[in-house]
Amino acid sequence: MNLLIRIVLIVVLSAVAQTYFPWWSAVVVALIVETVLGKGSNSTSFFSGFYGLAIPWMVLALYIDNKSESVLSIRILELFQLPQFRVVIIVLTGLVGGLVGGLGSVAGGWIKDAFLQSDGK
Amino acid sequence: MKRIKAALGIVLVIVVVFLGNSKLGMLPPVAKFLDPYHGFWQNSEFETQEFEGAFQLDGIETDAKVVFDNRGVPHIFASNDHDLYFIQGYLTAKDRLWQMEFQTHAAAGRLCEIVGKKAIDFDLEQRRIGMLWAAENALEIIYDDSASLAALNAYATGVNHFISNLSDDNLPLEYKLLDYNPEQWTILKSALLLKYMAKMLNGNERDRPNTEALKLLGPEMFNQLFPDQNYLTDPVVPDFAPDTALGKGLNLENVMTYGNWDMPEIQPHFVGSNNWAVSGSRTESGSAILCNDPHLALSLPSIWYEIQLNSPNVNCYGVSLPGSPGITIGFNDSIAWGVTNAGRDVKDYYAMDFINYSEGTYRMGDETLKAEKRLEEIKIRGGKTVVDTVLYSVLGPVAYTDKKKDQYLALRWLAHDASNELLTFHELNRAKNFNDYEAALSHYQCPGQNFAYADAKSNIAIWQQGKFKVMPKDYGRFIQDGSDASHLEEKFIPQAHNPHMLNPERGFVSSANQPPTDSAYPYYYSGVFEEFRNRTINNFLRKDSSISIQDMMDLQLSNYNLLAAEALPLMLKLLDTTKFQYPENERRALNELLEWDYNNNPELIAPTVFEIWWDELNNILWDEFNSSDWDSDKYYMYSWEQLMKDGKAKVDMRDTRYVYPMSKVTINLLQNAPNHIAFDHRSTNNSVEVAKDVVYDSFYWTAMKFGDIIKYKYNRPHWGFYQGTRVKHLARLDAFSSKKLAVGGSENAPNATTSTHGPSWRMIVEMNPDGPKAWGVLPGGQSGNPGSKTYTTSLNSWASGDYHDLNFLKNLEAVEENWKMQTFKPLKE
Repeated sequence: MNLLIRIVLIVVLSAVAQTYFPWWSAVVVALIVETVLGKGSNSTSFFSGFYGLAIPWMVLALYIDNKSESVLSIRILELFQLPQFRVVIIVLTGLVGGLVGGLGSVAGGWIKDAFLQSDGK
Repeated sequence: MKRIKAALGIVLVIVVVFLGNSKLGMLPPVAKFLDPYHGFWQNSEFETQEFEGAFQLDGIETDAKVVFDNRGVPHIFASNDHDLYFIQGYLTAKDRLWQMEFQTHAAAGRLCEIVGKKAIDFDLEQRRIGMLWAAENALEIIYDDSASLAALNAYATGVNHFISNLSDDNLPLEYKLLDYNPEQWTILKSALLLKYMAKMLNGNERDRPNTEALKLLGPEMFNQLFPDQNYLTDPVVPDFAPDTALGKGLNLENVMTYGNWDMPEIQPHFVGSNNWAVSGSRTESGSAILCNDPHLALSLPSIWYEIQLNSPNVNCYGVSLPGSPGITIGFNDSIAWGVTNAGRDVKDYYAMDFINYSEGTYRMGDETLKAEKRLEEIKIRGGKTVVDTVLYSVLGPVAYTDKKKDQYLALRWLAHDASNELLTFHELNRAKNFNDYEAALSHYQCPGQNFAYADAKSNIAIWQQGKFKVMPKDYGRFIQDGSDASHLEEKFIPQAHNPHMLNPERGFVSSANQPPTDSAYPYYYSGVFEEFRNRTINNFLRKDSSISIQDMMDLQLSNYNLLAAEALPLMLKLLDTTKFQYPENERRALNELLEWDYNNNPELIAPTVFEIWWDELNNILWDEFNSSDWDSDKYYMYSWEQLMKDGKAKVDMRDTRYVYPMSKVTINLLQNAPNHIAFDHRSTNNSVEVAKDVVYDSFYWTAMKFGDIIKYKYNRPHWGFYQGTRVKHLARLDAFSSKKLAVGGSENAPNATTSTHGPSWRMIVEMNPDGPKAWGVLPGGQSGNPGSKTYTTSLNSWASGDYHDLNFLKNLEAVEENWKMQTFKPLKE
């Protein structure tokens, strides 16, 4: 199935998973979606999980930051001695989400490879 | 091949999840922390969040209402005391859970469980001085009192109700950052909190520095430089002479003048406070006024939690300690009370004569006794549990040991004794008159406090209450012989003989950590007492006979530095301006001082110059007590390193075994004994220096440092900036601390604000017959969450000297429109 659909599925399913389970449930979602619907390991298997998590994490962070007028995000930036611009922590949140999601979907791709191979034989 | 790849996929995910979930060094678990569904983002508070309405609370008995006023102060209206303290616990935990638990972990010596082995020395000391033992002793007596036990249990249940309903996303921020979880609250933790306060307020111990100084100086010089406190004037209770017989004097030869005691460094600054009450005969309104500002380490979340407690049995407003039920400083319809630290020495150290330390056998008089062993298990995060054996002698726990030198110090601290201070506050919250106040104080033992009192009938009183030993002269000032069994024959001063007065003729009562009594008092005591602030306050209260609320605010905010007013004219008189070497610097510094009115106001430069000069003068004058590598070159090097690093001229070259003599002693020498041997520099063998030389030398350094501060912009010279007061986060995280506040003050002024300490709550209460009116302000806010706007709501008001009207509600009809109301309902089966 094409990349866009997988991304949308990860976005939706990970949001559902994370309302009940800790953050790593989103990584499991990326892995399962990529295993079930992916095309095996290729250049897109990273990006389904990457965008699937980076986008919602960033959007949710942005939403919270706007509503709370950055009271906390600025303190967190100062705490980790990062430049005190809110965009930094929002992008960082997205990148970390993307990275763990992407690695999850890469793992999914590898597992899919194993299935594809056994199907092929 | 592909199967291996699939297996690798599973491994990869496990590794990612593991790494994202683990604390890496100082970093919190990265993915877990940044996850916007559960991580730190969820601790951001919105103004539009659902707040009002009805909530179910599993554990209360009937409906209760809580009104949150415009500053978020909860006013709890419950129909019985159980529900009242349940909801106090619940709401306090909601705002302050992390702080409550962190402070009690610190008290119990359990910080290693949170931050790992770097806290081991701190934890070991807490265990060895018997903090947990003291709290356990307190519990034994608390179990015998149904009222305080019921309040503590209801409070604990309320806190635990909050904890058990926590989820990953609403866990307080610091738990996420340090990656751990709260445990159940217990009444032992409430008892620990009171011992935490006792340790903070009994910190001015001088046993070791006095012993070392006596060894260095001999008895005659020691008594000159470290006199007992009765040379200070203006005590809390003048002419107080209860009828009793005096104890015998202690022979100075009998104290421990050997050994190099292994004890923690002494911090010479002290924690003080002001309170006073003015009778209606001296106020503009005709009603009595009570004021209190306890000075503590400025910290965020605020030390205090503001609250009103209302049930059919009580209606009280004030500040509470997060972790303890009831109100600690406050007022009700009938009375108001406030506290300051007594400052008396209630910690005695004894050198124990161990025959065999590992067996625990020691000599006591003619007998050989065996110490009890208490095993202290210190769990260390990411490390192996450390088991420490603390020996308990009949005199107290052996707090400091040096096996190589065969030295063992037992600590006899009155906070170890079973007592129920909580009951005092429980009864003060409900007190109607002076008799209730006196009865409430009877339960109070440690740390000794001056309780100021005012009531709606215009009575005023003050009582220094605490458990104090009957002692011969000089007892407890030095490390004493622990093999002398006569130490065990303890007697205590009865409450009626503790300094107090009701409606004195002068029309006011006050305390600011000065000595409690003058020479009329028959009992001996020692301690570290305030020398200046108290006189400024009393001078003001004596003079003004039509006192207004504004006067009281002005007095709490007064930056008048009486130390400077007494010392600076002497220093200027002794300063020989013909010896100036770099007139550009020296003239500039001098000119700042000439027109000064001794107010440590933030916009002035003079207080900065004076502060530097006073420190330099002490460093040079008291070089007897400086570390052995102190000399001009070293001093220059350290000084300028410090100056470049943090813009402060203050350099502490003191040998940490000693403290410098009190400021009043220094002033007396400058004034009356300019040729005293103390003025002679230790480092010069061929010449004899006198007061003039010390004054000039110290002024020279002052001028050079001040010149460089301006020239190289090491700091801004205005006092508010130079002092750089900051309200620090409890875990010392800069990002969760305040910025530097440009505020004035001095520890020698009523507004006793320093760079780290200051008024942790300013309160003024007018006890009108038709109900109290009150004003107050905290250096922080109600919420302990750095992601909340109310974390620091009041900080700016505090810094600029503004007060809030305190909304003491008689009933729920007094609620204003924009306040928010929550109704708590019991959980229906």
